[in-house]
Amino acid sequence: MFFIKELTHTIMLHPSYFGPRMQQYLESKLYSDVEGTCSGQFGFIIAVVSISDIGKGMVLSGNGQAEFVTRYRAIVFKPFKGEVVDGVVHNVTRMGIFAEVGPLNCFVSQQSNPPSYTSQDQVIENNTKIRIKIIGTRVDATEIFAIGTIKEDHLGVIE
Amino acid sequence: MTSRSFPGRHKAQQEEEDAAALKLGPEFNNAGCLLISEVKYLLENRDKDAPDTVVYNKALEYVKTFAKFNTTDSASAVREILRREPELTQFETAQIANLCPADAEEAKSIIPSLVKIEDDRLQALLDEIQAMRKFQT
Repeated sequence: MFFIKELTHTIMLHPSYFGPRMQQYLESKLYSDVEGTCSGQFGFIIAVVSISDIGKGMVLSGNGQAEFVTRYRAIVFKPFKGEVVDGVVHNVTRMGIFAEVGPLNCFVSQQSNPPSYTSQDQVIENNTKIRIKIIGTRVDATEIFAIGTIKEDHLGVIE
Repeated sequence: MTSRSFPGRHKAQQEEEDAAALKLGPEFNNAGCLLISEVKYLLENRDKDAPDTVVYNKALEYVKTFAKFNTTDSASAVREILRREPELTQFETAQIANLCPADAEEAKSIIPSLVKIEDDRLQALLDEIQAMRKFQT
Protein backbone atom coordinates (compact mmCIF):
# COMPACT_ATOMS: atom_id res chain seq x y z
CA MET A 1 0.00 0.00 0.00
CA PHE A 2 1.16 3.52 -0.78
CA PHE A 3 0.99 6.06 2.01
CA ILE A 4 1.70 9.73 2.40
CA LYS A 5 3.63 10.19 5.59
CA GLU A 6 5.41 12.89 7.55
CA LEU A 7 8.97 11.84 8.30
CA THR A 8 12.08 13.42 9.77
CA HIS A 9 15.66 13.27 8.63
CA THR A 10 18.74 14.64 10.35
CA ILE A 11 21.36 16.31 8.17
CA MET A 12 24.84 17.12 9.44
CA LEU A 13 26.22 20.12 7.59
CA HIS A 14 29.90 20.94 7.35
CA PRO A 15 30.78 24.59 8.08
CA SER A 16 32.11 25.09 4.55
CA TYR A 17 28.48 25.06 3.34
CA PHE A 18 27.33 27.81 5.69
CA GLY A 19 26.41 30.71 3.46
CA PRO A 20 23.83 32.09 1.06
CA ARG A 21 23.16 28.84 -0.81
CA MET A 22 22.80 26.75 2.31
CA GLN A 23 19.03 26.32 2.00
CA GLN A 24 19.26 24.90 -1.53
CA TYR A 25 22.09 22.66 -0.53
CA LEU A 26 20.08 21.30 2.40
CA GLU A 27 17.08 20.61 0.17
CA SER A 28 19.03 18.76 -2.47
CA LYS A 29 20.87 16.85 0.24
CA LEU A 30 17.55 15.78 1.74
CA TYR A 31 16.27 14.60 -1.64
CA SER A 32 19.39 12.62 -2.42
CA ASP A 33 19.64 11.18 1.10
CA VAL A 34 16.14 9.78 1.52
CA GLU A 35 14.61 9.12 -1.91
CA GLY A 36 14.97 5.53 -2.92
CA THR A 37 15.89 4.28 0.53
CA CYS A 38 14.15 1.53 2.41
CA SER A 39 13.71 0.75 6.08
CA GLY A 40 11.75 -1.87 7.95
CA GLN A 41 9.86 0.75 9.88
CA PHE A 42 8.62 2.91 7.01
CA GLY A 43 9.09 0.76 3.93
CA PHE A 44 10.34 2.21 0.66
CA ILE A 45 10.59 6.01 0.50
CA ILE A 46 9.70 6.65 -3.13
CA ALA A 47 9.61 10.41 -3.44
CA VAL A 48 9.57 13.51 -1.25
CA VAL A 49 6.40 15.51 -1.87
CA SER A 50 7.13 18.61 0.18
CA ILE A 51 9.46 19.85 2.87
CA SER A 52 7.49 21.16 5.84
CA ASP A 53 10.40 22.38 7.94
CA ILE A 54 14.07 22.47 7.08
CA GLY A 55 15.08 22.79 10.74
CA LYS A 56 16.82 25.47 12.73
CA GLY A 57 20.34 24.23 12.51
CA MET A 58 22.21 23.66 15.74
CA VAL A 59 25.98 23.92 15.77
CA LEU A 60 27.35 21.00 17.71
CA SER A 61 30.00 21.72 20.26
CA GLY A 62 33.23 19.93 19.57
CA ASN A 63 33.22 19.58 15.79
CA GLY A 64 31.60 22.69 14.35
CA GLN A 65 29.07 20.87 12.19
CA ALA A 66 25.47 22.00 12.22
CA GLU A 67 22.66 19.58 12.76
CA PHE A 68 19.40 20.17 10.90
CA VAL A 69 16.36 18.11 11.81
CA THR A 70 14.19 18.37 8.70
CA ARG A 71 10.54 17.38 8.50
CA TYR A 72 9.14 16.40 5.14
CA ARG A 73 6.21 14.58 3.58
CA ALA A 74 6.92 11.64 1.34
CA ILE A 75 5.22 8.90 -0.63
CA VAL A 76 6.14 5.61 0.98
CA PHE A 77 5.31 2.06 -0.02
CA LYS A 78 4.99 -0.57 2.65
CA PRO A 79 3.70 -4.11 2.21
CA PHE A 80 1.66 -5.73 4.96
CA LYS A 81 0.96 -9.33 5.77
CA GLY A 82 -2.54 -10.24 4.60
CA GLU A 83 -2.67 -7.48 2.00
CA VAL A 84 -3.73 -8.32 -1.57
CA VAL A 85 -1.65 -6.64 -4.29
CA ASP A 86 -1.24 -6.77 -8.05
CA GLY A 87 2.19 -7.52 -9.48
CA VAL A 88 4.06 -8.36 -12.65
CA VAL A 89 5.85 -11.70 -13.01
CA HIS A 90 9.50 -11.32 -13.92
CA ASN A 91 10.85 -14.81 -13.41
CA VAL A 92 9.40 -18.29 -13.29
CA THR A 93 11.52 -21.10 -11.85
CA ARG A 94 10.95 -24.63 -10.68
CA MET A 95 10.79 -23.33 -7.10
CA GLY A 96 8.07 -20.79 -7.78
CA ILE A 97 7.36 -17.40 -9.30
CA PHE A 98 9.12 -14.09 -8.66
CA ALA A 99 6.91 -11.06 -9.09
CA GLU A 100 7.55 -7.35 -8.80
CA VAL A 101 5.11 -5.18 -6.91
CA GLY A 102 6.61 -1.79 -7.59
CA PRO A 103 9.94 -1.71 -5.76
CA LEU A 104 9.04 -4.84 -3.79
CA ASN A 105 10.15 -8.31 -4.85
CA CYS A 106 7.67 -11.01 -4.02
CA PHE A 107 8.18 -14.76 -4.20
CA VAL A 108 5.27 -17.12 -4.70
CA SER A 109 6.34 -20.64 -3.84
CA GLN A 110 5.41 -23.68 -5.87
CA GLN A 111 3.87 -25.04 -2.66
CA SER A 112 1.44 -22.17 -2.42
CA ASN A 113 0.43 -22.49 -6.06
CA PRO A 114 -2.16 -24.51 -7.79
CA PRO A 115 -0.25 -27.55 -9.10
CA SER A 116 0.42 -26.09 -12.53
CA TYR A 117 1.23 -22.66 -13.95
CA THR A 118 -0.78 -23.44 -17.04
CA SER A 119 -4.49 -24.14 -17.38
CA GLN A 120 -6.70 -24.19 -20.47
CA ASP A 121 -6.99 -20.44 -20.71
CA GLN A 122 -4.40 -19.00 -18.32
CA VAL A 123 -0.63 -19.14 -18.50
CA ILE A 124 1.80 -17.64 -16.00
CA GLU A 125 4.97 -16.49 -17.71
CA ASN A 126 7.17 -13.41 -17.68
CA ASN A 127 5.21 -10.14 -17.69
CA THR A 128 1.95 -11.81 -16.71
CA LYS A 129 -0.01 -9.68 -14.27
CA ILE A 130 -1.01 -11.57 -11.17
CA ARG A 131 -2.91 -10.81 -8.01
CA ILE A 132 -1.06 -11.98 -4.91
CA LYS A 133 -1.86 -12.15 -1.22
CA ILE A 134 1.19 -11.33 0.90
CA ILE A 135 1.68 -13.94 3.61
CA GLY A 136 4.93 -12.67 5.08
CA THR A 137 7.66 -10.06 4.75
CA ARG A 138 11.34 -10.11 5.52
CA VAL A 139 13.21 -6.90 6.19
CA ASP A 140 16.84 -6.48 5.18
CA ALA A 141 19.05 -3.45 5.79
CA THR A 142 18.28 -2.06 2.34
CA GLU A 143 15.38 -4.10 1.04
CA ILE A 144 12.05 -5.65 1.92
CA PHE A 145 11.23 -9.04 0.52
CA ALA A 146 7.77 -10.60 0.54
CA ILE A 147 6.35 -14.09 0.25
CA GLY A 148 2.96 -14.44 -1.36
CA THR A 149 0.36 -16.95 -2.36
CA ILE A 150 -2.08 -17.26 -5.25
CA LYS A 151 -3.85 -20.31 -3.91
CA GLU A 152 -7.10 -18.67 -2.88
CA ASP A 153 -10.27 -17.50 -4.54
CA HIS A 154 -9.93 -14.40 -6.71
CA LEU A 155 -6.13 -14.53 -6.74
CA GLY A 156 -3.88 -15.43 -9.67
CA VAL A 157 -3.76 -14.20 -13.25
CA ILE A 158 -5.60 -10.96 -13.98
CA GLU A 159 -6.48 -9.66 -17.39
CA MET B 1 -3.89 -1.12 19.82
CA THR B 2 -3.05 -3.76 22.36
CA SER B 3 -3.16 -2.98 26.03
CA ARG B 4 -0.91 -5.79 27.12
CA SER B 5 2.18 -4.59 28.93
CA PHE B 6 4.52 -7.53 29.08
CA PRO B 7 8.20 -6.91 28.41
CA GLY B 8 9.15 -6.96 24.76
CA ARG B 9 5.77 -5.55 23.85
CA HIS B 10 7.27 -3.56 21.05
CA LYS B 11 8.44 -6.67 19.30
CA ALA B 12 5.09 -8.36 19.82
CA GLN B 13 3.36 -5.42 18.20
CA GLN B 14 5.53 -5.70 15.16
CA GLU B 15 4.67 -9.32 14.74
CA GLU B 16 0.99 -8.56 15.00
CA GLU B 17 0.88 -6.52 11.79
CA ASP B 18 -1.93 -7.97 9.74
CA ALA B 19 -3.71 -6.13 6.97
CA ALA B 20 -6.59 -8.60 7.06
CA ALA B 21 -7.47 -7.35 10.54
CA LEU B 22 -6.47 -3.73 9.73
CA LYS B 23 -3.46 -3.85 12.04
CA LEU B 24 -0.79 -1.82 10.31
CA GLY B 25 1.53 -1.23 13.23
CA PRO B 26 2.01 1.96 15.25
CA GLU B 27 3.50 3.97 12.37
CA PHE B 28 0.79 3.36 9.82
CA ASN B 29 -2.49 2.91 11.70
CA ASN B 30 -3.40 6.54 11.16
CA ALA B 31 -1.33 7.32 8.09
CA GLY B 32 -2.98 8.60 4.93
CA CYS B 33 -3.34 5.92 2.26
CA LEU B 34 -2.89 6.83 -1.40
CA LEU B 35 -4.62 5.27 -4.39
CA ILE B 36 -2.31 4.01 -7.11
CA SER B 37 -3.88 6.58 -9.43
CA GLU B 38 -3.02 9.38 -7.01
CA VAL B 39 0.57 8.19 -6.71
CA LYS B 40 0.78 8.22 -10.50
CA TYR B 41 -0.43 11.79 -10.59
CA LEU B 42 1.97 12.90 -7.85
CA LEU B 43 4.97 11.27 -9.49
CA GLU B 44 4.21 12.55 -12.96
CA ASN B 45 3.58 16.11 -11.84
CA ARG B 46 6.62 16.69 -9.68
CA ASP B 47 8.15 20.10 -10.03
CA LYS B 48 11.59 18.68 -9.34
CA ASP B 49 13.55 16.41 -11.64
CA ALA B 50 12.82 12.75 -11.19
CA PRO B 51 15.42 11.10 -8.99
CA ASP B 52 17.17 8.32 -10.81
CA THR B 53 16.79 5.59 -8.20
CA VAL B 54 15.79 2.00 -8.76
CA VAL B 55 12.96 2.33 -6.24
CA TYR B 56 11.56 5.42 -7.96
CA ASN B 57 11.69 3.98 -11.45
CA LYS B 58 10.11 0.69 -10.44
CA ALA B 59 7.37 2.46 -8.53
CA LEU B 60 6.65 4.71 -11.50
CA GLU B 61 6.45 1.77 -13.87
CA TYR B 62 4.18 -0.05 -11.43
CA VAL B 63 1.73 2.79 -10.97
CA LYS B 64 1.56 3.33 -14.73
CA THR B 65 0.70 -0.34 -15.20
CA PHE B 66 -1.91 -0.62 -12.46
CA ALA B 67 -3.52 2.81 -12.17
CA LYS B 68 -7.25 2.15 -12.59
CA PHE B 69 -8.33 5.75 -12.99
CA ASN B 70 -6.40 7.89 -15.40
CA THR B 71 -7.53 11.35 -14.38
CA THR B 72 -7.49 13.11 -11.03
CA ASP B 73 -11.19 13.82 -11.46
CA SER B 74 -12.14 10.17 -11.64
CA ALA B 75 -9.82 9.32 -8.74
CA SER B 76 -11.38 11.95 -6.50
CA ALA B 77 -14.87 10.91 -7.66
CA VAL B 78 -14.11 7.38 -6.46
CA ARG B 79 -12.99 8.72 -3.11
CA GLU B 80 -16.23 10.68 -2.97
CA ILE B 81 -18.29 7.52 -3.64
CA LEU B 82 -16.45 5.56 -0.97
CA ARG B 83 -16.68 8.38 1.54
CA ARG B 84 -20.44 7.82 1.68
CA GLU B 85 -19.82 4.59 3.57
CA PRO B 86 -18.68 5.82 6.98
CA GLU B 87 -17.46 2.44 8.18
CA LEU B 88 -14.69 2.22 5.60
CA THR B 89 -11.19 2.97 6.86
CA GLN B 90 -8.53 4.68 4.76
CA PHE B 91 -6.85 1.39 4.08
CA GLU B 92 -10.05 -0.28 2.89
CA THR B 93 -10.94 2.68 0.69
CA ALA B 94 -7.58 2.51 -1.03
CA GLN B 95 -7.71 -1.26 -1.40
CA ILE B 96 -11.16 -1.17 -3.02
CA ALA B 97 -10.08 1.57 -5.44
CA ASN B 98 -6.78 -0.15 -6.25
CA LEU B 99 -8.15 -3.64 -6.80
CA CYS B 100 -11.61 -2.77 -8.16
CA PRO B 101 -13.38 -6.01 -7.20
CA ALA B 102 -16.43 -6.74 -9.33
CA ASP B 103 -18.81 -8.07 -6.69
CA ALA B 104 -19.24 -8.06 -2.94
CA GLU B 105 -18.16 -11.66 -2.55
CA GLU B 106 -14.85 -11.00 -4.34
CA ALA B 107 -14.32 -7.81 -2.33
CA LYS B 108 -14.78 -9.61 0.98
CA SER B 109 -12.45 -12.37 -0.10
CA ILE B 110 -9.54 -10.08 -1.03
CA ILE B 111 -10.19 -7.49 1.70
CA PRO B 112 -11.41 -9.63 4.65
CA SER B 113 -12.09 -6.70 6.97
CA LEU B 114 -15.06 -5.71 4.77
CA VAL B 115 -17.24 -8.36 6.44
CA LYS B 116 -18.66 -5.58 8.62
CA ILE B 117 -20.51 -4.14 5.61
CA GLU B 118 -23.68 -5.71 4.23
CA ASP B 119 -23.47 -7.30 0.81
CA ASP B 120 -26.05 -5.15 -0.95
CA ARG B 121 -24.61 -1.87 0.33
CA LEU B 122 -21.12 -2.92 -0.70
CA GLN B 123 -22.40 -4.13 -4.05
CA ALA B 124 -23.99 -0.76 -4.76
CA LEU B 125 -20.67 0.99 -4.13
CA LEU B 126 -18.75 -1.46 -6.32
CA ASP B 127 -21.27 -1.13 -9.17
CA GLU B 128 -20.90 2.62 -9.06
CA ILE B 129 -17.10 2.36 -9.21
CA GLN B 130 -17.25 -0.09 -12.12
CA ALA B 131 -19.51 2.33 -13.99
CA MET B 132 -17.05 5.15 -13.28
CA ARG B 133 -14.21 3.10 -14.67
CA LYS B 134 -16.14 2.26 -17.81
CA PHE B 135 -17.09 5.81 -18.61
CA GLN B 136 -13.93 7.69 -17.74
CA THR B 137 -12.26 9.34 -20.69
